[in-house]
Amino acid sequence: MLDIDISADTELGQRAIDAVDNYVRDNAAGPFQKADDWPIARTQIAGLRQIAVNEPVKVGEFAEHQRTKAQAKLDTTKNVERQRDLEAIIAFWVLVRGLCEGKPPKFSWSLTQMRDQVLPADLQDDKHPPGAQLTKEQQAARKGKREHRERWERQWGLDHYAAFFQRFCGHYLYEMSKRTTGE
Amino acid sequence: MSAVLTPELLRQADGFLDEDGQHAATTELGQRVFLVFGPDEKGHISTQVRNLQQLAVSVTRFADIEDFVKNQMGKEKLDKQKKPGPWRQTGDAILKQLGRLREKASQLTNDEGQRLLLRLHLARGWVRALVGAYLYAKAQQEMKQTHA
Repeated sequence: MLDIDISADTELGQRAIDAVDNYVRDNAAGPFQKADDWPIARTQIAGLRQIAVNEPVKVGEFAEHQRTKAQAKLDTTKNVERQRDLEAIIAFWVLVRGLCEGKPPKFSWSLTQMRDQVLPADLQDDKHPPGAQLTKEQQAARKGKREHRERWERQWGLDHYAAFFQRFCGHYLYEMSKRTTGE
Repeated sequence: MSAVLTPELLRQADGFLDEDGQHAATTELGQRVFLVFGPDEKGHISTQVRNLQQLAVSVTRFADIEDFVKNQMGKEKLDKQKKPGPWRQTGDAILKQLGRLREKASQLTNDEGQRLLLRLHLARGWVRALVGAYLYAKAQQEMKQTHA
């Protein structure tokens, strides 16, 4: 049994569920006639899940791209109802990015914060006095540690983003099914 | 992390699954699942029910079972008569029972590793009982048809 299994089954999973519940409460309370009326369509949820599983480092970037597209539409639309829809879309992608890399005080928790808290002590940056000259050996050791840290972060991301967004996306689809009355 | 389930924890978990109230609720749900999903075209157990069972016995995270149910519910659309599909008809009841297993595991131990193992143990026992009730309902229906 791995720590990630416990985390995915408890704290991490619960955070994903809470994030969806809060989003739905504030932006998509419904009920909706059709699934298409939801701010974020099933296909986008499927896309988000796929990126989280395959390329976790790109989730934040993807969310920002989606937010920018929605913002550009919001800037040009005059239809009040459409503006509301676009605001809900923007809120979703802001949330997703925040869940990935948000910082306090706006985001009291994010995957990046969680990762940084559990970074093993031997992978943390060495403190050198400003302007200190490093020997070749020290430089090589620093480079090796940086590479090791990157590998560790990549693996951590693969495990945790997949687990988190698996729950996040599943719960979003579940809420969709409960609150969509006509389809 | 390596957690182990003690014989006492296993006994308590199995005892819970065997309690009258819990057993009756699972049996009732299994019958309902049969009414809603029915058998497949060849008269075998529904693929969806089989998938749920396979998942419950193979996962390393209890949440994967909950996610499976939620995903299946999320995929379904209402039919032309605006009637919900089988997962939407039974999903909440399944999730409620899974929630009860989660609670029970948390009550039995404070160790997170043991809790996870207990949840999985409970899920496996629960799905066996659910599918057992489903198959019994299926057999009863077939016997009725034979004798009719």
